[in-house]
Amino acid sequence: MQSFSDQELVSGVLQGSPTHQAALYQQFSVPMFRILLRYAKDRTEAEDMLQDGFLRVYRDMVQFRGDGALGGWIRRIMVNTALSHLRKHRDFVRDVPDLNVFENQLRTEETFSSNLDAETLLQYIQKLPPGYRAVFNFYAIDGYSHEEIAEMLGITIGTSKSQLFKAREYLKKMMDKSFVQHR
Amino acid sequence: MTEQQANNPIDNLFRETFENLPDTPAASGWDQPSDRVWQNIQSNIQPAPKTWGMKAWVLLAGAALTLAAGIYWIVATPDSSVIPASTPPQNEQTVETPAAATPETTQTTTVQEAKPANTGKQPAKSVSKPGNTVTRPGQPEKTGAQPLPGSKTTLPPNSTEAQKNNSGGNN
Repeated sequence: MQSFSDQELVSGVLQGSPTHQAALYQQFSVPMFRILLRYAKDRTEAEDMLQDGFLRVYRDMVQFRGDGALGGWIRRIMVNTALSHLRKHRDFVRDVPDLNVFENQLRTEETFSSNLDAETLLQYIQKLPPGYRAVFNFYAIDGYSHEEIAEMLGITIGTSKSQLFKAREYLKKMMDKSFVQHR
Repeated sequence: MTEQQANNPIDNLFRETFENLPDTPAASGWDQPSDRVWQNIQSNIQPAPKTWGMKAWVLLAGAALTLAAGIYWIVATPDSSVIPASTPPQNEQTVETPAAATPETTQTTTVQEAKPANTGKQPAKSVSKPGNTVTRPGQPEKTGAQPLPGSKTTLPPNSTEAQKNNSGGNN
């Protein structure tokens, strides 16, 4: 497969070139699929998200201004696509009113050393309930703030924090069961 | 990424693992989407097939034919706005000549009482033949326009009959 620069890909896709469309998919499908696998409950849902996301990319390519990396722009579209899929499931985030209980129980001094590979960690994330999984991905891996998450998911900041705490606890339990050392 | 976000060990473990993945897909293939995804995308982003162009031409030709037939129909149909040569019954005055009136040879002459204003067209004179007088059902017969035999008929002064009578009287 021929490699193209971002600018070449953009102009080629805008002209409807099948070669450039295929090259764009070839270049970005794997990294985007890795992201979507974290947000999805399984591989099938992640593939649906990927398909919708790339269709948005081709459709909205005219909106790409070129002031940033093409990969970053596509990544934002993919995360928004994942968000759209999450919103289809009503009540996927359940409100938990008592925030301070969870805040005080955070044990940040703990460290984890693990030789777990990405595929195994992905399986843990996918086992999380949908609300925990979404907040953990947004906050812990993709770097969104609780304010942003609350706005994106239509929940309160407190709910976002409590979901994050529960997600961490859930993950720790799963890792303990898998003989992960933690001190 | 805030400081608090960077301090949590579980967050760090997951973030670093997923951020440091190699560019190439894993040998196990867990991070590679199936071919079905690209096939579906391709079918959605492909330009319209050429057969659609044929369909469009057929539809266009059909529309043009329909339009042409419609225009022909409009042009070929007689103008319905032209008023037919018939006069309304209330504007007519029937004058019968009682002297020559026999049951077999009754002459009925219809005289136009007044011309319709602003029509721009010359109203046609209609002469009803004996026995052809049409009376609409349910409509009362206008007896006032049909004088009794032997009675004098009042005619408008500028009518032909009146002029005839006048000229006959003078002679």
